[in-house]
Amino acid sequence: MEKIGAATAEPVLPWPQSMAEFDALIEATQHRLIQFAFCRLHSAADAEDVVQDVFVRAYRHRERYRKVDNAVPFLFRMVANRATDLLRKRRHAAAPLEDLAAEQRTGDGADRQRWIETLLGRLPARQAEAIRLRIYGELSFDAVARSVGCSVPTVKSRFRYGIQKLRKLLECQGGDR
Amino acid sequence: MTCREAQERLADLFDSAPAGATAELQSHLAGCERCAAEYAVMRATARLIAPRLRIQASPDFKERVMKKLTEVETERRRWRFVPRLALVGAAAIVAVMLFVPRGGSPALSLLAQSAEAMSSLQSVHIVARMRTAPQDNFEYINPQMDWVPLEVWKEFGNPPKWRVEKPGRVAVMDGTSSLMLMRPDTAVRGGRMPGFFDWVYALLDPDKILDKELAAARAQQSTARMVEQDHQLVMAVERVAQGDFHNDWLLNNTISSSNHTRIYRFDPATKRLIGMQLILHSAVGDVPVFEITSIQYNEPMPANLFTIDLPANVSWYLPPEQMASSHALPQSPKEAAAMFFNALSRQDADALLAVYPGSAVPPWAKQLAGLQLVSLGEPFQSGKYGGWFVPYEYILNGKTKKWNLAVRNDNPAHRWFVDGGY
Repeated sequence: MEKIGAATAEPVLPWPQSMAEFDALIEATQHRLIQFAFCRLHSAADAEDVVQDVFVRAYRHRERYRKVDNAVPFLFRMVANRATDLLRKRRHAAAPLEDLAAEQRTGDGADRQRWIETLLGRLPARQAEAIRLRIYGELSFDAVARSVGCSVPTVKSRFRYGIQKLRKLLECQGGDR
Repeated sequence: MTCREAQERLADLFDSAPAGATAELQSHLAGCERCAAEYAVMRATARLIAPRLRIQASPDFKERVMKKLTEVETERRRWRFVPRLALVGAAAIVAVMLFVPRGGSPALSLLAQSAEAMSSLQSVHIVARMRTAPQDNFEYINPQMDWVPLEVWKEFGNPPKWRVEKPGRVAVMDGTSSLMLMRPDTAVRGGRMPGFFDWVYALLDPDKILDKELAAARAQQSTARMVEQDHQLVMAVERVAQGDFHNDWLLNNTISSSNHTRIYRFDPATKRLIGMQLILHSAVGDVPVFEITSIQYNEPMPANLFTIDLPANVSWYLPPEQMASSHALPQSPKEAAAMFFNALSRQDADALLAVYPGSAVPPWAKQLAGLQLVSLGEPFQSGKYGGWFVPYEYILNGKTKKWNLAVRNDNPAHRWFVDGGY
């Protein structure tokens, strides 16, 4: 069996309805969510900003989501959406790319992550989404399915096709990094 | 299993929580070179894109989230955020305030208007933070500790209902009785005005805050000053620790036993309370130990907010008259302390439950098995606490602990029991 990421138990946390639950939710998920956002944004500061924004939204809209029994998959979805928004803004920003890259640099890891994201960007969006949630987010397929709002078999199918296409892209580039 | 079925199920091998058995699939891979090769390629690709750089949240990330939440909420509700008054700032404000005379003051005028404005309230929801221990009682403060979130909900009505919560404790009043859960699994029942907390009652009645504070000022228990600042009405109340502090063990350990300044802010238009900050005057300087970050009035509150789902393994904290009495009972603070520590050392449940007000032996008791009691000092009293403190020293696992055990018998049954400090 291929274990991806840390083999930790996936937390099941209700949508926070009190400061104590909010505190517990942040404590349990902050590192994973920031890691997930970083993989998209290649900037630790931007990743923290995005996740902070998501946590604040989650608590402000707690009444709306009172019946959600596990907030974790939804938080990943919210982070993914906010990261996409930020990337869109970056593309429209006037800052020279060189400056942006320098600001966002977090060593070789960020460079490598940028290369992987370029590859994922060439996949159909839903396949890339399934791969990111499973591999970057370390969510189970069940949680990925909850996150994107479709069935588990559909998510698995997207994952498999996405990985296969990614392999072909890598072969076209002439191998691994 | 056919090759097609196997390939369709290859993703199962990448799940962290596989829903079904994968034995059949793995058996197929073991006997099918083509499918095994396909799986190997997928595995290599997945490994390639797995992040190698692990990013962690900054140490102050949670605090920044809480701060951002406060700012956003404040902006949304068009409130003026209650400034985190730096001590220098607080001192400056106090300096420019006018002393409230006994009659005809702006404060009395505000009192009347504020009481009227808040008499029609349906509910209040206060979000605050406090320098305290998450598990400790609602009165406890410690300027050395980090902020702990605290939230208060109150639904006015006859009878009123409320909920007060911080990470380690939650207390509710459902209209007829109150209940507090000390997380994870200890609960205690109370009446309409339980002794779970004292000063938090003030927050439960924001419409009576001004009245009570001005009454205290007139009774010379405090000094109240009022000023209009940044288009807000600000009232600063200097409180002196209540009680006898010949032994200062309790001094500045709880709100009511501390020297502090309370700064209330009222909206001049609605006359409603919009913020509060409490600044402790301690030996190490002036430190904010409590502050309200937002107040929402007339927010709809679901009925289940005033109930607590207790864990299945809950143990109860009993009133003294219901405590076990099959064992010889202590007759003094020192005897109660000796019985408590000896019972823990021997893991003697009967003796422990004769001085500890639990329905069962608490889980933490196991951790103190085998402790060696070195000494018990002379009991003393401090502040307004109705019980006694017994100095103790014990050794456990080679480590020495010195502290003061709180014991009391100021109950109708005059039963000595251990109230804290262990």
